[in-house]
Amino acid sequence: MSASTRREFFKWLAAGSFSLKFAHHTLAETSPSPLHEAMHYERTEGKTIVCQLEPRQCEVNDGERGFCGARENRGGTYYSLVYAQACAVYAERMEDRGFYHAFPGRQALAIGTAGCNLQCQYCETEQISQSRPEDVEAEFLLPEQVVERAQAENCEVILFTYSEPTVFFEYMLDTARAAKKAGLGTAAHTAGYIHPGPLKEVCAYLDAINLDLKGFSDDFYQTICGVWGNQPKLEAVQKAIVAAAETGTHLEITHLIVPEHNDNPQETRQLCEWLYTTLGRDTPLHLSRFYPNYLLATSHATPRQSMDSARAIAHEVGLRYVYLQNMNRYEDTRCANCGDLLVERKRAHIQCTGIKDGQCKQCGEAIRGVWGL
Amino acid sequence: MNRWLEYGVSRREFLKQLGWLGLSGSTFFGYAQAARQSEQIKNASAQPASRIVIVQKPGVVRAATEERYASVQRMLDTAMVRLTGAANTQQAWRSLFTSDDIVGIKLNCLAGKALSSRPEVIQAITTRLREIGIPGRHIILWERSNRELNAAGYPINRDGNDIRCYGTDDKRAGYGKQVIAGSVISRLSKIVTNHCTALINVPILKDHNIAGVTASMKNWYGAIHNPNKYHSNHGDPFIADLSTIPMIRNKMRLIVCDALRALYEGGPSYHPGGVWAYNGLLVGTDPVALDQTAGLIIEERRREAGIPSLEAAGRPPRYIATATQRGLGTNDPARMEVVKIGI
Amino acid sequence: MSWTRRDFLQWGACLAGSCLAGGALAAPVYRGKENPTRTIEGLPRQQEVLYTPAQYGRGVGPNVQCVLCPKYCIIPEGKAGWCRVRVNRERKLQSTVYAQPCSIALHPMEQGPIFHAYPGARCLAIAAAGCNLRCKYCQNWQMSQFGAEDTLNYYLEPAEAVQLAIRNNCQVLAFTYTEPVVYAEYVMDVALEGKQYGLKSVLITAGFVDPEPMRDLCEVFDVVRVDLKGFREDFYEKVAKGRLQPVLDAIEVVHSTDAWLEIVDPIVPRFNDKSEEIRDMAQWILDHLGDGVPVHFLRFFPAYKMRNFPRTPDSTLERVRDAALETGLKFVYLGNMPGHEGENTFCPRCNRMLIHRIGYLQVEESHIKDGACAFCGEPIPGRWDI
Ligand code: SF4
Ligand SMILES: [Zn+2]
Ligand SMILES: [Zn+2]
Repeated sequence: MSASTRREFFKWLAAGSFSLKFAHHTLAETSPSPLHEAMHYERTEGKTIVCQLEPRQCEVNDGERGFCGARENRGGTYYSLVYAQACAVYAERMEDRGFYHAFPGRQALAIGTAGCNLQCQYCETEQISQSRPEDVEAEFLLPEQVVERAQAENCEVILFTYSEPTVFFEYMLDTARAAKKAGLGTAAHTAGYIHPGPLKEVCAYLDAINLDLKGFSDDFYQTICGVWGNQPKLEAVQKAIVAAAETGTHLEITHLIVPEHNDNPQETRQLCEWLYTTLGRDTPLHLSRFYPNYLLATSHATPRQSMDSARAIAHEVGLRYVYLQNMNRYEDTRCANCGDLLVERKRAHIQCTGIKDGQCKQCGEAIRGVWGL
Repeated sequence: MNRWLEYGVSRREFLKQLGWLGLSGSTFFGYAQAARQSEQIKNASAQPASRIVIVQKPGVVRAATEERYASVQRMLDTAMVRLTGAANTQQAWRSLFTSDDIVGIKLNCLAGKALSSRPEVIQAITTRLREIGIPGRHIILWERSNRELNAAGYPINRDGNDIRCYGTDDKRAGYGKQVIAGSVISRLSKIVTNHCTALINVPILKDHNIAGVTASMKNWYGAIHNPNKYHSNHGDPFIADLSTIPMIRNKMRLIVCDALRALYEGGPSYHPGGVWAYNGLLVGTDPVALDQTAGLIIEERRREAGIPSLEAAGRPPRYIATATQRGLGTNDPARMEVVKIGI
Repeated sequence: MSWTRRDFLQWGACLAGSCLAGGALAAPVYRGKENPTRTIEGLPRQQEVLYTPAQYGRGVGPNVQCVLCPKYCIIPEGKAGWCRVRVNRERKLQSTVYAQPCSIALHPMEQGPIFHAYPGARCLAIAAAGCNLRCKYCQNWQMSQFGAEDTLNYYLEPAEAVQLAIRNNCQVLAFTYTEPVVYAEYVMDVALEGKQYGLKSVLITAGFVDPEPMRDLCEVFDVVRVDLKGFREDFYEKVAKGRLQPVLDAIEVVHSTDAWLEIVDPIVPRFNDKSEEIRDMAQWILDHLGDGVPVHFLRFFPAYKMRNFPRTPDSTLERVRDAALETGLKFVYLGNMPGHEGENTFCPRCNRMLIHRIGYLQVEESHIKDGACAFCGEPIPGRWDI
């Protein structure tokens, strides 16, 4: 077993060039995910593309993927790798996924795929959101099949959530379209890190949208959510919120309170004031309790005092529908005008009794939301 | 064989016992080596901490094949002797590797056949590794994917006694263990975690449209499953964080940066207009010092070519300073010793 | 032949037994502490594990997260949380021990140890498998460190538990031995049911709980006795595989409610017996809970994974008690030291003995009248009447 001579090494290398074509061939054939071309991207020089879906605007070379890991450049064409690759499909209550003024108590078929364009240090679904499509189990479910599944499971709404709907934009759009055609409700829960254009495009098919406003500083979006450098941070999300509000789709806002990172009263106040001036006092705000997960696993869950004081601030600023989430119980919805019970939420039972035609039965106050199909 | 079987020792056990013999032999070498190293450290205390050797031989890339292979071998040998301060080539390699090591050589084949780690360099390294008693099957040339290796002209070879060569996406590898690199969680190539005991990093000296410079530290993007999560903010601090992963940091013994033909503009993929023949190799053990040196070479070339510096082009390689802060090495000129040798 | 895990354990136990009998390879077999409780015989057994929907769960992507305790387990389908008794079945958080306790016994209140609530009352002590800590000195590891599949269980619905208590003349329902918090749904249902019949309820917990469920529990329970196993993060991590700060948070929550709080600290020599640590702990109690909270320091007995450590000497316990008293705590007791004066209750003002105890028994008449010292009238905090 002597060391191979130079010539042998050559030969060995030469053999490689022959197998080259063959290797390319098999790769394309055995590729597991059916490709669906992505929307909103531009080709720059050569085979490089720039994704225009969201403010990160990844520049992606041939064979590489964008930050989300769910979109890939193959030979200068950008593909979505998660189209119809649902890795979580469950029937859930709207309330369990953070909607209080949209289809209260209704069952929704919630779906999500792998990938996310943020990287929050406290992510609770990191197994899917921070994984690549090939690393998680997924069910092949075309938009029409999602609708069928929803009907079979008695769901009246299709809800895009779990990871980040932005990264399965094409799938969301087609499914929402199919759902509308079938007369189902549609909703999405997103972090709102998306360009206004695409957002408006999908809002046309959405009844309700829940946007996260994760913090109210660029610093928070950088250190906790993983938007680094000179990419737009808070401002991008604010733009998305404004854009969503313009479309007329019912909008709810979720703000997760992370102790020591975004629980100081000034930040909360600024956030609430901004919401108040841009969206008005009636947009529901969900203050959500944080649980240590993923990379932020060492600190503790948000204490009750922080939650209560944040709500007090929101009320002070003038927001009228403020709910606490992740506190192990649902909260009722009461008319902000007369205090009458509109939606009663008990553990097993959710009843929407106080609303008729989008108005409080008692006093006639218009209640923002989607109350029926 | 039969006698062994009579005593209930299977063939595998027999081989294992032989292995043990080998091991005890090498422990002796280990001692000898440790003694040598401590001597070196004594000498080193007066010297700067990080030494980078640049060997250049004008015209080497244009030489005829046989001559090119021979020249590169000589360049590497010179560099290794100078780097380690050993008396001869063999000793130089012995001071970094033992015959028990399974050595993974990380190539950089991103830019295809035109600008990947060159076979001359790989040949030069593997020849010396074999000479110190590492069998061919204990040398693994690897990259992210078989496709990239194939495209750069390295055929896949998974078994036999010859040098192995496969990508992480090969059926015998894959991405395994989850590791935390700063603020990102990645899965590390099983080649790094399971297949080898030592790593040699053989990057290409290139300009990078996001990070500024890609040389040694950036090359580990090929060891994780999600490099797309590391590109924000010009790779700062992500590139530095990646090199802090203990599995990479502890196994990495040597960097041989291939700068025979390098790229000063338009990287990291092949860009004919940005290529020039530097005719050199950068050899060192400190990734930060090496990347710093590499960065300076690129900057100099850009000046010569009359194009804006990396800073002016909006992509200064800030991650190098971050890596110094992370304790991965030094980019402080006072603590670096850059040795330039012409052949 | 398909062997279940339980079969295997039983078989293992037999084997260990026979080894010992044969004198071969005398592997030390755990003897357990003398258990002064009386077990109740003839209760219905439950063979199969029943699953009951649990609270404090939330769907996170394809998994379920349990937010009951600071482990905040994210549980994949078909798997159990760290406590072994809360599982994800069909993407719902379910309990495997609801109504399936593995130990039912009778014992006096003082065995808690709880000295300032319902003295001498008879408790029906109920325990099911499971715990969210891994204390190396666990005295009940046969129950706490296993899941419901591995213990022999009864079947006892809340209503029946209460009837059983009444039949046995118990005034109190106690949840003890393992970690009742991990079957919070069951203990709350039993306690609520008991309330209708005038039964009091006691929760004996290590306090490694999220503040929210703790608050829910305190609304139901009359007495909550919490362990404060040490006052160093390091100790909690090494010996109990838990964390200190959440326990402190939980204790503050208990204090802020109407439930009666007592604190217990088992003293393990060389681990958590430093006077300085004890002083820190006492100071914290003083600052956050006041001087009226009874604190018990228990003697540690070698058990489970700490069989090779000596039992705590008297001198250590006395030193520890003095340190706590010096700091200003008014009611500091010693446990597992029958006959020691540290078991008695003294009036903090006139220093006379108010309750004399030996072991778990009150031996003389109590000198506490209407919640105050019978001699000088100093109020003695506690729940003295049932
Ligand atoms: S109670 Fe059990 S399942 Fe729930 S978080 Fe604690 S250890 Fe995990
Ligand atoms: Zn009204
Ligand atoms: Zn008195």
